[in-house]
Amino acid sequence: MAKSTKKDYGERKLVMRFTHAHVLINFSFDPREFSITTRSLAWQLPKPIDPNNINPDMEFLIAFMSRMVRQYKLEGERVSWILPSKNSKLKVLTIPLNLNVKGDKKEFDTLTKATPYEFWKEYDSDLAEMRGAEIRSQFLTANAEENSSQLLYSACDKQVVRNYQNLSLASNLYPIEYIPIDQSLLKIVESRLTRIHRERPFAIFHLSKGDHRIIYVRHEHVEVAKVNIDELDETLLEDFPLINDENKDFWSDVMERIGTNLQAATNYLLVETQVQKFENLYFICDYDNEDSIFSLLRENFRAVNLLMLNRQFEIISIQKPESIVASKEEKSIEIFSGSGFIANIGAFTTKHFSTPAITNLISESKLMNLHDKHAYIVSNFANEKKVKIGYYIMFFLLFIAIFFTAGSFMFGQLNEPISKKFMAAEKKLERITKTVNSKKTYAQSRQEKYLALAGLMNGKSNEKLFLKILDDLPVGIELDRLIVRDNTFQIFGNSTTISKLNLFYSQFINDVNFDEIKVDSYRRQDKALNFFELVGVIKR
Amino acid sequence: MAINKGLSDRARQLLQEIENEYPKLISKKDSDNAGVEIQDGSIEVYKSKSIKFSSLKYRNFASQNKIITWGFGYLTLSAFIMGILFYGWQFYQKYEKYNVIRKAELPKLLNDIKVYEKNALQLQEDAQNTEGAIDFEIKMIPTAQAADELLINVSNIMEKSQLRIVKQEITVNKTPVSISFGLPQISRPIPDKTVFSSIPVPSSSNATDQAKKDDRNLAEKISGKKVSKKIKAKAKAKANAKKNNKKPDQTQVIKSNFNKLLTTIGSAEIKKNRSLIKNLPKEISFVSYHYQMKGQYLDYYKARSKLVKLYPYVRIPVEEIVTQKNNSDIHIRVVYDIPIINKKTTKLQKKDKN
Repeated sequence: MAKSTKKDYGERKLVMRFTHAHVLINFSFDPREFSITTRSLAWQLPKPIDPNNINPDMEFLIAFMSRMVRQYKLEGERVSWILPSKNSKLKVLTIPLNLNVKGDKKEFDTLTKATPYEFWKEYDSDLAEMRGAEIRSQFLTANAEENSSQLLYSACDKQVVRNYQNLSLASNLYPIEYIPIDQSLLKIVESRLTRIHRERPFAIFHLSKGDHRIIYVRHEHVEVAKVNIDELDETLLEDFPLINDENKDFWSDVMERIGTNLQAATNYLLVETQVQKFENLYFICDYDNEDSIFSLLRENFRAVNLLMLNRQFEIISIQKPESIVASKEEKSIEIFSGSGFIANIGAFTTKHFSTPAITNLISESKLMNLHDKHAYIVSNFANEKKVKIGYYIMFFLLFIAIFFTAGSFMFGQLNEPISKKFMAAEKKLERITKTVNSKKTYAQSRQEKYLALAGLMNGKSNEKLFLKILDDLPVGIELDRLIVRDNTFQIFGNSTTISKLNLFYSQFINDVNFDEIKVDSYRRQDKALNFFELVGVIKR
Repeated sequence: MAINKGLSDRARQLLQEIENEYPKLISKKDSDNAGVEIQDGSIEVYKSKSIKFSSLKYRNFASQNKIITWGFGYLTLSAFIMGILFYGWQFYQKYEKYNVIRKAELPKLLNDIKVYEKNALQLQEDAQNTEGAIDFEIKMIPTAQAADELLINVSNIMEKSQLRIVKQEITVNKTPVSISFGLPQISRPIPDKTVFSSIPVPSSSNATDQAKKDDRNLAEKISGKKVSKKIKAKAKAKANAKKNNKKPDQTQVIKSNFNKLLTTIGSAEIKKNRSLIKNLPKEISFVSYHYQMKGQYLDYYKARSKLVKLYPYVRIPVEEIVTQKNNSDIHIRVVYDIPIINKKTTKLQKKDKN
């Protein structure tokens, strides 16, 4: 047995539908251009039921479904129910409001939200038979001239929805979607047609106990015509055998009658409802041995082409877990097939592989969920996992944040004494700085005082000048005057030659005890002498 | 198969081909009878997610749009996380701060404290040394009680050195003496001339310009101190006035220069004295001797040396020695400013120290 990878499954969803003899379940939907792979299961009911009214068989169905859920371990799965056509009729209704006009749209929204039942009762006579209804509609087109709009519409008795809900919950399943079968059928059939056939009207013949019908589909139009099959023939269909030479005549008669009824329904569509002629009628059957039924019906119905789409659907049969584990005996393995599963597949997100010139508004319409909490029940369940993961991440972050905060706090507390020590050290430093500054000021004042005292001693330092004159006054120089003021001196005198004067000057220049020495001299007119003036500063 | 009988030969062939291709599509009952071959991948077991069913959960999910509740939950949790992280970040910052303190700041601070303590000790020591030096220096300053002896000593020194005291003025002041007396006239000899004397030369003009630029007057040059602008302006005005009137003779110029010198030096000395008094002990007074003497240069030098040795703190704000024509004696004018200190001072200083 080949292992399926996650990618092979495509869209995963549990879609269920009751037929008279089975519960048909689809698990996945993987559309390709020429085939659709789906995982399916047909759980045979121990006795036939009326799928259009499950209320009388509720107890039995609950017990049966619970067993099935247990056996296939489906507990806690979300389930989408395909409602029978009788319970969720699909119609195109015309209302006298142009929904392209803002005012009309607003009025329509107000009325359908406030009193939907009262509003729709005027346009759907079937609503009168229901005590309460789940109503869904989708805008198709508007006619400005007639000030009207066409809407795709479906309504379901609230009791039916409740029945399915109770059944699901009692079987440990979460019901989140209730899809009208006609919408599901027309969407999946249309998605498998070629581009040319999608642009043309087509019809689906659904052979389903108690609700045989032709669903006619055009771009903006849906019409459902009932195919009246005799109750006896219906019962016979339940036990339709494989055809052989012995029984062929009998069953040909049966199918001839059904073919006649089908012809009548076709005529009704073409004549009474005046729909555009359609070429192809696609055959969907809830009965076993549908190939035999189809072949005999085709022989007896030639008005339009009767076609089967089965070959486009690859069905992988889902087995009970123990049947695979126990042994590889083929007896325990069940193979499921049949067009009955096709009705379920329409509840998945259909995919097209061609683009028609004219869009089919009917098949393009969104699936109508007749669940009373349709606005959020699906998203609540769909987002649950993501939200859970989100919460796990958030709690993880919270844990990290708490850990980080506690760690930082703890380490901070451990270092608190260091901070106190630092503060004490800062204060100490401040104190010492002040002390140092005051000591500096004190030392400076002392120094200034000392320098002031030392400054008094200029008598001693000026002595150098007198000694210098005594020691170094060259011959040939006579002094006229010596003035010492503080530590500045000025000498006037005469020299016999400039050279002698310069010698005298150089002795001052070279002496480190004197500074800023300048000399000024000139030749006297009256004598052969050079008058000079020498100034300088005595260093202390 | 039975269904094949109703078909044309061509259709039967095609159907056969399709059936060969898709044998698994044969219906269940057909397969029961025909014993269909099971292809790989045509059967599977449903992989259960093992989710626990809860009707309460369904009621909860069907009661309202949970996005609002979940969103609120996310917001609350986010706010809670942010709040905790905010505090955590603050604690972390504090921890980081402590780390920095522990690793860098505290050791640096402790080191700084050590350095400062060392500096304080050093300063203390320096101050003590300076204080000791001051005390030592102050001890060398004669006391007021020794002032009488001082009077005798100074004149004795001069006279014993063969100097003839012509005039003596003694004053006792709280401040060092400021020189206010004038200088004897000095005449500069007339300079010899050359043919170039009357021709201005670039160097001399430059020198003149330099002189102009160097607006320091003689007093500043000699004293090395800056003279106030007012005094400078007065001196300049006077100089200009004289220039305009007549060409003064050299004697007058010299006299005038010395007068200016005295004025400027005097004012500079007053300033200097003020700062000196500020820093000197308050109990110090100055005995100022103004002598005009005659004698030999060598004798004066000897007397001066003796005096300086005896009183190292002698201040000599001015000394003038002038030679006379045809006379071997030189004329000396000198001012000795000797500080004296009251006995109380020592006590006061001790008080200061405490």
